[in-house]
Amino acid sequence: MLCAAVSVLPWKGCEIVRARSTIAAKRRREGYTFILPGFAYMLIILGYPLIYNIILSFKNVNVKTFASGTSVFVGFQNYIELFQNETFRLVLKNTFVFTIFCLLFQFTIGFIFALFFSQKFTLAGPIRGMVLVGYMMPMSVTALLGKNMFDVSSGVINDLLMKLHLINAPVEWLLGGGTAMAAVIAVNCWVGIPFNMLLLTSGLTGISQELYESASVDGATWGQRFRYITLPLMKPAIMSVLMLGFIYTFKAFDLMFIMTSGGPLNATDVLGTYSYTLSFKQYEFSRGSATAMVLFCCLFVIGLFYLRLISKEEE
Amino acid sequence: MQKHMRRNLAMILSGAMAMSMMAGFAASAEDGSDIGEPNGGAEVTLWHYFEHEATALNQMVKQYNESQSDIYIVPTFVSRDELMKQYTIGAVSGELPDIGMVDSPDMASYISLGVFEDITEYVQDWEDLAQFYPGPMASVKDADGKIYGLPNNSNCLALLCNMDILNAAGVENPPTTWEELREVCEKTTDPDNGVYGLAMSAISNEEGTFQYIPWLYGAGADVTDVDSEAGVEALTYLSGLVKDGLMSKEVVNWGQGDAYNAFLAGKAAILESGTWQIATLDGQDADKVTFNYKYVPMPAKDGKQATVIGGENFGVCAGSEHVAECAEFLKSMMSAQNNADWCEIAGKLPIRGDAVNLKDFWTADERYKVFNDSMDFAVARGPHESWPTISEAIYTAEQSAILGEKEPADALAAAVIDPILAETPIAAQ
Repeated sequence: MLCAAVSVLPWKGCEIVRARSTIAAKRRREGYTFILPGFAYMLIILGYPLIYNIILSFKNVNVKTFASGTSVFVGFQNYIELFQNETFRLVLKNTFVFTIFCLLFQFTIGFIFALFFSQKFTLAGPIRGMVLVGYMMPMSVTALLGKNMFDVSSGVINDLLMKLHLINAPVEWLLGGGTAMAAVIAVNCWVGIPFNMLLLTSGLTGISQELYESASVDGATWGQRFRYITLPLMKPAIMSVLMLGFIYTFKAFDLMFIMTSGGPLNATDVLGTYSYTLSFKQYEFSRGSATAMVLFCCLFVIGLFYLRLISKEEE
Repeated sequence: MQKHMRRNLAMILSGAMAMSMMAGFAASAEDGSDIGEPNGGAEVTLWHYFEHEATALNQMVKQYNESQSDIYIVPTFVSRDELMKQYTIGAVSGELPDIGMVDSPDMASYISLGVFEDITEYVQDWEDLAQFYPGPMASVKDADGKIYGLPNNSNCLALLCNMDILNAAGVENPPTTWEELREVCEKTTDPDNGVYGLAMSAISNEEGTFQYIPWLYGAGADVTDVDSEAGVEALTYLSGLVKDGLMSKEVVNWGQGDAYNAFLAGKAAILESGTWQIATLDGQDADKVTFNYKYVPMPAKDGKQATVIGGENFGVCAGSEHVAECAEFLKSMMSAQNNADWCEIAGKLPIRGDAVNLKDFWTADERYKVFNDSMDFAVARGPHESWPTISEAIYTAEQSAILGEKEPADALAAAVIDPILAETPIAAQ
């Protein structure tokens, strides 16, 4: 009908189209106005520092060139030097070891806790709430507690192990590379388990009890119900928890900063703490930025996965 | 289900944000004590990290505020780590106090970063300058000899001996040489009660380097040749003490305060101790000192003795609108009388010769006398703009030897200091 009108009265058709396009343009402008605050926020709060950091990482700003303004662009030199540096490679490895082991333990235990506390028994709610205390505590407090608990001569953990006769001599927790890493992982899991539990619990409560009931009627065992009902329905929640957990753990800073200062001998140094050391302790601003960029890139890739996952879910 | 998750997530995220914001607020608090009524002068800020000395500082500030009306000085306590971070950030943002305190080995880096204002024109004709000791004075100058501040106090390291433990082990006199020290350590170490011979700090920060320098120089080496034969000997000696169970391996995680606490708790017979610790022994820890103790200078090796200079400087920060007035305050603060008064109250060593002569405090009290005399063979760290990097190389080598990761010689060979010094040598003093 409209097409016919347009073909019969071409000038009118033009007008309609023009009117339409002005309306569309107006609406588009309105749309842009709506996203402007958010966009401006992103640009100023996130974009500016990020771009500044990227630029910094390609220059040679350090204690010598900073005030004199003699810094120049050096291309990928900072990155090349970092990857040639033994300490940086160790730090990169530490970051992945820390993240993977933390995820493994906190997810598994968190899932078990979530399943356990979803059972209806007396005090399930209050106890679940108490488990959350670890998550509520500021990381600085947790890290200090960890530092004291894992102390070789006066720490409660060695004391306990000795009294239980599990060890004969105190374990040199924060004095050995491997044991120090184990200690920071343990402390981080204490915080991570409630976090995982919380997110997985809300995933679990979303699954209708009727499904389990009908499966039971059909004779499904506990394992089968878990394998064929819980897991598939929990998949989106699980993926989100793992992604968020990865991001949170990968950019760890305060725990190591307070508990071990990255030591002994960089054994618990991660990208976050190493970047801080370079920038704020040695005034190697550009190399610190390059380290932060490596951290950013790793998280960016994970972030992309996460976004894809979310958009898939929403479809 | 998704809704649930999102809502929970939002709650967690906002909670996390609130937490991290709260942590940010814990930075600084103004000292409440009396600094005099506003005198009509422009308000200038002074940042410091004095703790038990803060009252004495405020007293001095009050006196100055009442003596003139050009500027009104308001001191603010900022913890040392936070202060260092603020200087670095301030170098970029320009948010700096008018007057800032700084640990002497860090000053060269901050001068290079442009944190401090060149005050040469205000102080170069000051006749008192000749009275300042060269070591502390060198730390406020850049390579061209321009002056960026004034030193405020000095300290150094000596051995603090728990005479009860020594006597119980049959040792009458504190050790004076490396060999004697080792012997005393062997006699006093008591694994059953967790008592070690020596306690020190070998932590992975400037404190670790600070405590290592006396051994390095005592062996006859210096920062330009840490991996020389003498340098290796120094590290072999210290790591040997740990290896043989005479010193706790935990020293790698101990700051100087932690080592001091271990000593105070009777867990070590001897402590490598700083001047400032006399004030805490007399003050806040007076009731914990249930034993006899004695200070002796750092032990000698082959007749050679060394210790290290520590101390704080004050500078006028870049961007201050009252540079001249602030420089005047620094001069007044560091006048012979004020410096002597201040160092007596704060338990520190003056930075100028004529101040020491004003009182018998540093000669009458035999503990302070040990430190005052030790200044004769005390060495400064740097000054060097890349001192933090040099320092890191030193404490990393020390830690890897103590932890048994590397042999002392290998650990020191891995300390890359030469290229830094080849580029910019340490200014001669």
